[in-house]
Amino acid sequence: MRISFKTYYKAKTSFWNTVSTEWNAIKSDKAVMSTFILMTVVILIAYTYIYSTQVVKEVPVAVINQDGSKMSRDYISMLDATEGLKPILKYTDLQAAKVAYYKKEVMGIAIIPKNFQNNIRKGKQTTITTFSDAANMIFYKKVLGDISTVNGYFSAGIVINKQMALGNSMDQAQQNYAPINSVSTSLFNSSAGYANYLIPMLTALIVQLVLLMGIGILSGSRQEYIATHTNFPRLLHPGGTIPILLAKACLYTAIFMVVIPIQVGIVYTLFSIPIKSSLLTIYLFLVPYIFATVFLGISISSFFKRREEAIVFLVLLSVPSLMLSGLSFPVEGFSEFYIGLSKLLPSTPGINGFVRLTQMKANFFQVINEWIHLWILCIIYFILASISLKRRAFKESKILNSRQ
Amino acid sequence: MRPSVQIARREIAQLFSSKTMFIFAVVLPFVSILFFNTLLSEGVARDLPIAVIDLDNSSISRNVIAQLESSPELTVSHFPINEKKGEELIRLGKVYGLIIIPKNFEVNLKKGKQVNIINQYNSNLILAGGLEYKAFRKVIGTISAGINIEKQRKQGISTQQAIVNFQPLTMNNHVLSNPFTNYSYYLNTGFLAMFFQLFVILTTTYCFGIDLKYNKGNQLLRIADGKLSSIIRGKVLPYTLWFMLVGIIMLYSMYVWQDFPFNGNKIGVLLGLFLLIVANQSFSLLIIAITNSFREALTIASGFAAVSLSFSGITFPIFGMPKVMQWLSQIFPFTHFFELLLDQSQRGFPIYYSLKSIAILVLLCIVPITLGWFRLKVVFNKGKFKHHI
Repeated sequence: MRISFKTYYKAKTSFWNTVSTEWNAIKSDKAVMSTFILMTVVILIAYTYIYSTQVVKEVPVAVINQDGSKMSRDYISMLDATEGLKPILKYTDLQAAKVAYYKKEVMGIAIIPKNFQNNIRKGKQTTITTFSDAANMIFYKKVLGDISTVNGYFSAGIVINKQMALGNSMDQAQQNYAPINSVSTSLFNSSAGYANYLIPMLTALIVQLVLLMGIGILSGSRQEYIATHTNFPRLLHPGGTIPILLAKACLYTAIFMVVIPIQVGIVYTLFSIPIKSSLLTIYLFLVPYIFATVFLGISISSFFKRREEAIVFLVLLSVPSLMLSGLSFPVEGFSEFYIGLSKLLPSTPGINGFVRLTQMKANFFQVINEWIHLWILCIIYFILASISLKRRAFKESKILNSRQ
Repeated sequence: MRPSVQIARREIAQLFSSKTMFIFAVVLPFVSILFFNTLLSEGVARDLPIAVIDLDNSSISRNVIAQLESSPELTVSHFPINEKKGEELIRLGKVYGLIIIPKNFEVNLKKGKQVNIINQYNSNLILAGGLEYKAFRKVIGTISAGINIEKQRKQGISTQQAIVNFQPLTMNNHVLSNPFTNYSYYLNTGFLAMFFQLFVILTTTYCFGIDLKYNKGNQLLRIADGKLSSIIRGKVLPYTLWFMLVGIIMLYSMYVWQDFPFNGNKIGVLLGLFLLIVANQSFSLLIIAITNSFREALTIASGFAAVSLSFSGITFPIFGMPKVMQWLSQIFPFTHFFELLLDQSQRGFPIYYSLKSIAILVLLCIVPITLGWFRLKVVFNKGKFKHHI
């Protein structure tokens, strides 16, 4: 009884000492503070601003009208009415349009053939020729997608008009034309906006990035000054790492509990990105995410001999983590090896869960798999972090002892 | 021995004695080349899982499901019992879309009534959602057209005429540059080149910063007889050459190993690569000149290189950005290099149309170093950064 009380008391003291040491280190380190502020607010605002127009509009497309009939002009005005395209009519032949494409004045070319109107009236099939540039997928999809849509409507319009001329009602004509009608509704982000898509992912990624950076910088300077075990004296005792690790994780969690609402509040309101979940759920979800990331940070921080190195390594980690999360390119396209690798990063379940909660209106139980995944990572990295801290403390004390 | 050669020798010796430097300059560039080349080696996403609710359970509805299954983009993985369960599957991230075939689908179809098939898809995931949407429309469109044509044939119209009647206007699409619409061609070109320039800017910043952090600016000046230009030549040129080699390997990995389309001018691409390296080195010297500590210099350098991806137009076209961001995008060497690389590889433009990118890259090599020159002199005379941390 007495022993357990003593251990508890020591652990408690160690816990609160760690909290205050770490907090003072964060407060007094200009680098850590600026990383926190710069990353969480400034970078996020800048990024969101880049994507703030949300969708690509009015992509210029050269339309070469070889027919010049009323029907061809109708077709062009239908192209003009799409949100995505802006037909440019000043090119008279393919050569001129090609030069404009080389100069990036247009992103695609469409040719309306001779006898367009005549052929349609006669019941002959006519063909629109398109050239679209798949070197840039965004333009390619816009150009080809919008022209296809217009083509479909135009075609349907002709057929339905013909049917109606034969005495069918509009409804009947439509039914005859398309016996099966496909109705597509998008459940979330119905405008397919880029900011709505990317920013929630980035918000969650930034949590990992900032934490790893901050921990890396702090631990790097402790390594430079050989101060790990003097800052956290209990590290040398058996079981001493547990309260220290918990204290660090709790402190960073507390910081993010304050940072997240501010960050989300400013950025999401400023650019009207929806949030479809309560703050409490987000908090609940983020706890294991922050814990796992903190422990991961401590595990890998022994690799950084200097504080500056942490910054660089972690910037390098950010793009691969985003890719591996599977939200930008579907995981179905990855090999087994990368799927396995992605599961070791806290950001994979972290980003997935955060996006589903805030954007897809998932309730907490619908992200419970990610939540459990994060807790498992948390345990794994906790063990690694304690081994890493312990090793470092003993190494440092040996160095200091040999100096004396 | 000439002072710049002496400094270059010192630099190379440092590269092999410092573990960090070696990792940045030698190991990680190849790791990144390997990573991106293998990560997206498929390039095209296939078999995206979808859920289907079949409320009709007729032979036609089963045919629809079979058709969906046989489309290369989709695979039917779940059959939830109701819409709520289906939407939950989307929220759980198990499927990308939910397709509902209504009751009396077959009966209504035979009666000649128009029937609806509903597709709820997840456009929050822009790429996967878009693919699902497109594939669904294609499958249903084909089935619907088949029924229409079959009906006409029953009235004694020939198949050929029936097709013309159904679709008076067709399309003949020429997909330029990337005819297989392979995402790997598109994304890898951007990611690999972005990471490459990230290593260039970080290595250069690091090799200057580490000397200034440990107060060795004076020592360098002494070796160089007080000439800043000798120091810069000696420290920068070995890395320019080294990264030229790394860059060529990177391009080789894309255009030879992975067989990305290359239709343009090789000399133009190599010139662009050289200018990208020098422009980034020029920027890192400017960053060294204007920052107060090693840590600040590295943060700004890595930040600069990292955001250049978003400014290059690969994730969102430049002309769609707010005006201020459009202007800003022009100061990143990567934006112009990326444009040049695409024009001279996949697009195969005549080199004349890339002269503008080359000219801007040359400008971006000269301007930053000129701006930073005097400050750089001051820093080196002092021998160290203003702050140690």
